Amino acid sequence: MEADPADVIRSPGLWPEQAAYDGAADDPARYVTELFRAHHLELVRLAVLIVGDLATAEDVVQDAFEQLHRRWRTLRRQSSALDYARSAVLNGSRSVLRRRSVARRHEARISASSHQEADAAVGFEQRSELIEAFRRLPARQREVLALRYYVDMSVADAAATLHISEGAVRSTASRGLDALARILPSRSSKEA
Amino acid sequence: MPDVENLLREELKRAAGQVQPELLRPLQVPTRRPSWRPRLLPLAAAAAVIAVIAAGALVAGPTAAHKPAAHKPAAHKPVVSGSAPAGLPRFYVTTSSSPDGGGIQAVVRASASGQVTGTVAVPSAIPVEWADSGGTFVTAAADDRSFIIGVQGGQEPTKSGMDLRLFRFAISAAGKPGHLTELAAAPMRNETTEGIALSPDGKLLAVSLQNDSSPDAVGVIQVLDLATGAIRTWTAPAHNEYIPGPPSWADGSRVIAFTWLNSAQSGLMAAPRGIRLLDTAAPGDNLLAGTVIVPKGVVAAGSIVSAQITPDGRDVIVVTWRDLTPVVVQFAELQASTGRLVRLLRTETARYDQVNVVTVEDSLGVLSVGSQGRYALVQGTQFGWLDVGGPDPGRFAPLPAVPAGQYVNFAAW
Repeated sequence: MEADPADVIRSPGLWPEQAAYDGAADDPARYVTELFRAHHLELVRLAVLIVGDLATAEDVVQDAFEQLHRRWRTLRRQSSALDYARSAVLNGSRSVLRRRSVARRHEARISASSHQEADAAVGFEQRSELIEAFRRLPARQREVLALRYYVDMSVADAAATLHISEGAVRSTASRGLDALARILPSRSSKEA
Repeated sequence: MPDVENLLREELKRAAGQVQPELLRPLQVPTRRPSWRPRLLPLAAAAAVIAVIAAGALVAGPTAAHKPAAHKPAAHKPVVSGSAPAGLPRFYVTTSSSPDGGGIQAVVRASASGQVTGTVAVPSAIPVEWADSGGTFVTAAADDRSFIIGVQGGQEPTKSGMDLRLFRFAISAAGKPGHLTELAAAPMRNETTEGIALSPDGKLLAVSLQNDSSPDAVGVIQVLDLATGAIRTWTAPAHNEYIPGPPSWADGSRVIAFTWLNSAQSGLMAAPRGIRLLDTAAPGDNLLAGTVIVPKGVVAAGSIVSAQITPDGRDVIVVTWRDLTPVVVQFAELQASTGRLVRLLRTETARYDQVNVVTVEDSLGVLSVGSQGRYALVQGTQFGWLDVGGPDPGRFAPLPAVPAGQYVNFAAW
């Protein structure tokens, strides 16, 4: 299913519909709530691409929501709340992956079951080989590729969101694409 | 490669598109703080929940079970024994919502016992629920009697910052607070305040803030002469992504130390990248004229979250954290001239989970160093005093300040 382009967060920065937040500036709770109401679906979708299952993705976004809610007063640039929200989702997703990694090291069977649970939880269709390969990429490569090719961010915006250099975005994306390209011949031959 | 890029773009959007609105649980509007008093919640929270639900697009299915994140901050039982060590400042001040939930108050407590010795109401335009979690600042002079409360107030709709109103009050030898007096001198309006610090002699007030009025937020420190109202301003160069954190004074009323925050760093919070010294006796208005005394934000095997310089200017007391399992929080003493670790004062651990990590990271602070440099008010996994240069370095005693389970952003003695 093609995502509605209107659902995709395309650029970091200012509120997309500033007028919708007029009057909310003196009400941080409402301000943040409006932001997440407007972008809940998109943020969950972004998290799903990183963590792989809906329940966890929802938890990550809920946590990000609460973080922003709590930290509203201390944000450096409140006009960039959407940037913070997106960064928080990615950070939260990364934490989930790290915890899974720790768990796997201690109990190998958790890994196998988590994938099964993940697919069952979201009710995803059979994943394509490309998505399966994407899921096996290192987390940073997944994040970069998701921002570049799902969110359609520029290299500069992805770098700003991930707090890494533009060069790092390019090299990370290149490595990820190289890894994915290696599965394409088999994919093409199967389709043929 | 373009084939891969196009295919990936198509597949990612297809996969993400499988997440449809009807699959989602509704967002739960959180309380401002984990144990925010329930009676303060109903109107704002209910309205916000309704706003979320009424949005329509994100309405959860009837069987969608909401699973709110479980906030379980460390509930602590403050020690209120009377065995105060020699040199411990007698009183400390915090702000919190008043018991009836109708306003904000400054609360004076005895450091030895934690017992409240007096309260004074603080005029404020901010919602009372912020009292326990931010929006108010407190600082003290070296006499342990003179305090200033800073309260963020009005906000212009097009501004992200807020005005800061300043109030002075003194406490008696028994810890009874007098009336608040609003100061005429005020820092820049409609900006984001990072912290305030009263000089040891009580004559100057340092305010660190982020000037949001310029196209690019600019870090600023202002020093207000409380007697004359004169204000001196130091500004970071434009297009600088660094801003100053809460200030602290050393060498009498001459040197200001402040954490140097990278505003573009970290997902949500500005991340300290060092500690700067500003010699207020030197000419010029360049905030960067001072030196960075800790070249990197990683010391004592962790990332600095908060720091205060000791009054003699010799040491910096920092709190660091490591994002591990469990989370490791450390208080350390660094040599101000070199940034080298002098000694590790205290190590705490906290349960690792997403919410708890955020709560811990959000809360840590070296809040106030006593005038003799022996004891500091700190917020780690608990709030309390820490021996940082007294007879038993590393000794910690929890203190009461805000409702159990919450944490203290600003406190002073």
